[in-house]
Order: sequence, then C-alpha cells, then structure tokens
Amino acid sequence: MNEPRTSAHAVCPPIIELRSVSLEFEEKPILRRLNLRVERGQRMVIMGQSGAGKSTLLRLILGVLQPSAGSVLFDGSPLSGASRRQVNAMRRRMGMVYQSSALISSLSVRDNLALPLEELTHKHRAEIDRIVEEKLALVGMEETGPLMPSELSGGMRKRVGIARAMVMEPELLLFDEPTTGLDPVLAAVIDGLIIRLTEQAHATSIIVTHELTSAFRVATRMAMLFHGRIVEEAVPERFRASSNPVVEQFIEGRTEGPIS
Amino acid sequence: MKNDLLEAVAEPVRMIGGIVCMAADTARETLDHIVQGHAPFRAGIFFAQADRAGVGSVPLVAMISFFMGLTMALLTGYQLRKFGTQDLVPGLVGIGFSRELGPLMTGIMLAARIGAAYTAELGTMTASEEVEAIDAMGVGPLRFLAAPRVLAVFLLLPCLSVASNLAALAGGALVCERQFGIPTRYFIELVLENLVIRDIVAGVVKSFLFGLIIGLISCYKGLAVTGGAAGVGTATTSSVVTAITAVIAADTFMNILLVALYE
Repeated sequence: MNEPRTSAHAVCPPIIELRSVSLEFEEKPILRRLNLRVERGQRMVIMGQSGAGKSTLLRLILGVLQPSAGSVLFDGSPLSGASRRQVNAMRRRMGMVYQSSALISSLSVRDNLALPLEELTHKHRAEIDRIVEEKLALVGMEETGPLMPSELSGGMRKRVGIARAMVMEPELLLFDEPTTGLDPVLAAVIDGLIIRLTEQAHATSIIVTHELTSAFRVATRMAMLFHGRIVEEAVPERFRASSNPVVEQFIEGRTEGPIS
Repeated sequence: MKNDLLEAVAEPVRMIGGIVCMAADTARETLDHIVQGHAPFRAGIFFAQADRAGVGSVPLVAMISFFMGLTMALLTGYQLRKFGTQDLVPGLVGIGFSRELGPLMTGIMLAARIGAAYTAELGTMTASEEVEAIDAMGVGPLRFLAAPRVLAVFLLLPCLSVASNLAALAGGALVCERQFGIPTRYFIELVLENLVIRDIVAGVVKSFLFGLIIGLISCYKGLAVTGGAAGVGTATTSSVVTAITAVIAADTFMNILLVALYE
C-alpha cells in the first residue's frame, strides 16, 4: 500500500503554473506551448534576450493578457477564462513592480501607496496612513510621502514602486526589469530589498531581467526563455553550470551561438 | 480597392463597438464597486473634472456664444429691417440658440477643449503603464478614471449650454438695442413670447447626449493609445475630430427625430 503524500509540494498547488501556454501578437508567435511552475517561497528569475517575451509572461500571470492557448493557474485556480471579478480578486493577492515604476503621476507618493487600500478595503484613514508609512519605511523612503512622482529620482521611484506593490501584503510579487538602468550600487540596493521584503512577507517573487549580476544575486531558481519556451530551469548553481548552448551563450555574452 | 473600402467601413464599426463595450464595462465595474460597499468613484476626481470641464469652460463658451449671438442678431436684423420685421430678431436668437446653436456650439467647444485634454491625459497614462498598474492592482481603471470624467462632462454640458444661451442673448440684446432700437426689456419679452418649452427641452436633451458622446469618445481614444508619445498626439487629434463629427451627426439625427415628433 502506498504511503499518503504529505510533502508541501503535494498539499499546496504551485502559486503559479503555466500549462502549455501559447501567445501570438498579430500572428507572430511570442510564447509557444510554454510550461512553468513557480512554487511558494521561491524567487524565480526568468532570463532571456530583449524581446523574448519575459514582460509578456508577467502580463499573462497578471491576467492583463490572455493566452491564445493553454492555461495560467494562480494558486490552483485558472486565471485565463476567469470572470473579471475573479481576476481582480486574484490580482489583489499579487503585487507588480514595473520597469518604469508606473507611479500615478497625478497622485503624491502617499496617495499612490494608499490607492489600493482606499479603493479595495474598508480600512480607516489612520490605519491606511500607518500602513503607508510602514511600507515607505521598509524601502527607506519615509520622507517622500508628500512628494509627487516627478520629484523623485529613478532609484527612488523604483523603491516607491516596490513599496506600492507591498501595501496589500501580496502572496506573489512580480518584478519587471527591476534594476535595468540603475547604477551597480543602486541595483544592489534594489536586489537586497527584493530579497529582504520577499522573505519578510513570506511571499513568492517572479523577477524578469537580463541583468546577470542581479539575477544570480536574488534568484533561488532560474529559468531561461528562448524562442517562446523555457529551455532551462534550475537552481542558480546548476543554471550557471548548464551545458545548454542558449544559457552558455547568454551567460558568457558571446555573439556566436543560437541567440542571434 | 475593395479591401480599402472594407477597412474604411470596418474602422468606425470597430470604434463604435469598442466605445459601447467600454461604456458597458465602466457601468459594470462601477456597479460591482457599489455592491461591495464602496463609493462608485472618488468624489474628488469627479469635482476636479467637473470644475475643469464646467467652470473652466464658462469664459470660452460665454465669449464665443456672445459674439455669435451678436453676429446672428446683426445679420438677420439688417435683412428683416428691410421688411420692418426686426422684432423677429429676439425670437430668432432665442430659439436658434436654445434649441440648436447653444448645445451644438458648446458641444463642439467642449469636444475641442475637454475631449482633447481627457484623451491626452489618459493616453499619457496608458503609454506610461499607469493605467495597466491601476488595473493590475485590481482597481478598475474604467471606474476609477473614465466614469468620473464621462459623468462630469455629461452633467456639465447642459449647464454650459444654458450659459451659452444667456451669453448669446446678451449679445443679441446689445445689437438690438444699439442698431434696431429694441430696448432690452422688450427684447426679453419677445424672447419669452417666442420660446416654447419644447425648444428648451430639445436643447437640454441634446446637451446631455453631446456630453455623453464627448466623454465616451475622449476616454476611449485615450485608453486605446498605442505607440508612446506619437500615439498620444495621433489619438488626441483623432479624438477631437471624431467627437466633433459625432456631435454634429447626433445633432442632425436629433433634429430629424424632433421634427418627426413635433411637426
């Protein structure tokens, strides 16, 4: 008689699962029958060349885009094909940090962070203020509350973007090129924040980047996206030692190889 | 050639379909939010937009309508004076503006002034991923961004039409008194004598319709922006042209309907 399976893997579904997902834009295939599982607590870094479809993958997970075929599951529930209300309920359990930060330009930093709390919860103003201050303090930006986004530097905007993604205490954090365009010191600060905040919140992160240093610094698992498919997925040490020609070329930055 | 023709027909049909879907989604998002025990949208955003579309447009609408009323009285008055019927001028200005020119001119002015502003603003937010960020939070962007703007221009356009009518009558009264010897008190009496309720109702109904058309088209064009800064520019131009054309088309349709109903 078989022993009942009691591992966490068997009990909990992966927080995100993409099953044979395909996506085309104007008949141009972006993703081709892509499969990916992200388990709870992981910091999954998805790498790939520019235009490989990494950001598109995040938008599929958010439900902003719908796959042409296959399914996206969040915590075991299908996102693709779900009603608007169900998708919104799932999105409230996610936080997204955009490459451009995407702070609402007409709202102050404080109001940017307070927006989901005011719109989606019944919390009182005092409690909202406390949460906003707490999240700003987590990213070291406690003085910026009254400032407008246009008054912030690129690095400050990134940090406020991370704080905004954290206000609803999400289970899943999505980062789209979080360190692109930042100097190495600031990039290390952002990487440190991603690690610290994800661990503190017991959240899962999916980070899309092509910055190798950042990727190896934050990842607990890495995947390589190439020609619309995940061609390699492993823990960072194994990923670095991979014999996959795409991964080798990408890590070594060679011009010759399958990536043209 | 045939494909070009099909595309020329398909584009407006696609746009009308998109606007209808957006209006339905906005209503659904707003109702959902109310059902969950929240206010439909932020009162602050609505009042800011109402102030911008309404109060901010009063000087422009009043000034242009004043000059138009003045010109209308002047041109018609000179012709009618030849037949000794210049007393018809006040009624002509009153009916012309309350039923037709007031709502139409206000609609055209708001399509240019507020429609362009809405499209440029929402288009910039779309291009900089702000709209997607609002959507990604689970905060309905249509309810949060489009609903207060559409409602503001829908409710404020009739008020501006009234301001337009009053300004035009002031211009007409000035000309009548100075050029045709009709005192202002008599001018008012003649306007009230000629104006009937259905003219005023027709003007108000048209104003609401034009407000809805301008609000929906400008928000739709802004939220559908693609292609960054250039896309925002193209969408803004297209929004103004489309809204003005739609307002004039709706005015024609309403006139045919009203004539069929009343005449």
